[in-house]
Amino acid sequence: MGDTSKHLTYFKVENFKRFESFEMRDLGQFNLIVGDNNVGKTSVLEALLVCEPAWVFVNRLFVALSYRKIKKQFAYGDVEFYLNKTSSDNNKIQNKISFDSHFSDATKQTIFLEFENDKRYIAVRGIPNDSTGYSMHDRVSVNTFFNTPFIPFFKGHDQDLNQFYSQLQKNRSQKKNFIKCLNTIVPDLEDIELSIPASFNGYNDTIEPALIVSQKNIDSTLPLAMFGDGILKLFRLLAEIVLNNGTRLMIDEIDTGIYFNRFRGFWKVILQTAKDNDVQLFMTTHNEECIKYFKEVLEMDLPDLQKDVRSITLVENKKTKLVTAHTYNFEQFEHALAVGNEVRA
Amino acid sequence: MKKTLDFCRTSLNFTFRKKVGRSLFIEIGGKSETIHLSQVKIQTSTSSGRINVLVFDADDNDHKSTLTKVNAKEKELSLKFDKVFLFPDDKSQGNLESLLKSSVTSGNEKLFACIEAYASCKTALNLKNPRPIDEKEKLWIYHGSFENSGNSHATKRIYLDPGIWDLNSPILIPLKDFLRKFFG
Repeated sequence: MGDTSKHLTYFKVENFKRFESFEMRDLGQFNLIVGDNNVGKTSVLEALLVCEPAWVFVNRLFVALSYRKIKKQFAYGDVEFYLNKTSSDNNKIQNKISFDSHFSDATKQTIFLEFENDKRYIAVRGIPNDSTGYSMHDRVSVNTFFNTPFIPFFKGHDQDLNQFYSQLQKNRSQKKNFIKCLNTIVPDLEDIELSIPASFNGYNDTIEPALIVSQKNIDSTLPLAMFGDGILKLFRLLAEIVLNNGTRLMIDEIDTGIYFNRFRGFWKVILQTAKDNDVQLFMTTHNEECIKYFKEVLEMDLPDLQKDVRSITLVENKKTKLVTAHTYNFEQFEHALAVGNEVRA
Repeated sequence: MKKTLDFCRTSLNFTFRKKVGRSLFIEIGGKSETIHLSQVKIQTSTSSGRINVLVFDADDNDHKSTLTKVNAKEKELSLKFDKVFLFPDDKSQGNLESLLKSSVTSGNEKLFACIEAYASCKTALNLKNPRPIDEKEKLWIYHGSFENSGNSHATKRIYLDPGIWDLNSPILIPLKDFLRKFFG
């Protein structure tokens, strides 16, 4: 059994994006977040990027903001974008976001993100002797290549995977297991190596090594980037799960790019790999089949994980516009699907 | 309780010409002991600003004691039922089946004599492991006796055929009056 002590059991955020106050209770290791469009699912994943030290947290928010591709409105990628500005009472609008986390080792932590001109102050409460420590982060000192445990729906192949694979292929059994996982989506995939593509003619010395795939009964090789969304998605997810060992990973629209009859194998590999690496997952989806196979794989293939599974429905009150989260344990989730009750709203 | 849900949808369709989507219904099972399985779904509905209307069988209990039981469960599970209707008519003992039995199309009642005879005959045969024919089963044998009735299985029944069920029966008035408050 690995270290799951820093997995979240409770999370609350105040003054973040559309949420004046939002909380999720009874969190498990595998959390599937569902809900209507524009209810704030992606914002919840972004809020879950909260961590210490301060510069890493702000760096993560900056990277997540870059995924939203709204640079025209926020020319400097300013994380002040995340501050709630929807309060009907202007006097209530604050310059502070708070994040409350309870962990499975029974510890608690409150982190504040404060904004003042170009400086971001991060206060952490809950550190030993209950004092509050402050640190400051300037928005210009951001490293966009730093690992951010948040996978947007469109992210598949990218150069950062080379770095990951160069580490992984040093261990033969780890690499073998990784290939086996990818066979869930591409059964004929035989090997992946980091090298110059076979089609490279040698005249361009700026070309960089790429991930090259060998397939059964085919002599020529192909760059991984030429494969479909499913394999790229799975490669990305498995890589990020291994990279975030012992912590948490947020995945937006996990079903994107996966063919419906691959879902069972897909879920089996993702959940088992996360279990093996003690990674707490927060995943969003709209897809009914994705949800159905999530249940099925836990019933048929991974019953031991049922106790760690939660389905969290985000719902907006029609009158007040307040968003609340409702957590199903596996028994309730299974029952809802069995009798035809809608878990997504 | 799937049959309750289907019957309510049919009644809404028949009475108010409204097709209400399945997603607006919450199936909670037929026993108060299993309501906890739908606890989160009911709470979600409340949070979204919807009105929760509970339709349940009174069964052998009197109306008041069933309501007391429902209210206790409501409190125990932090639920909110805005309105409650107990089959058959929100005042008598009974269930959906007793409501339906009073709603068979006029002239078809005599079919129940045949079903009773069949049940008695079957009992007399002393079969090994016979499937018992209770009051509910008799009703569904009736339903399945007609062409295009859907299947006699609860999940596939079609209630709108006036040759099988009289949806204008006076026994249905309390249910319709109740539903009218929300859908009329």
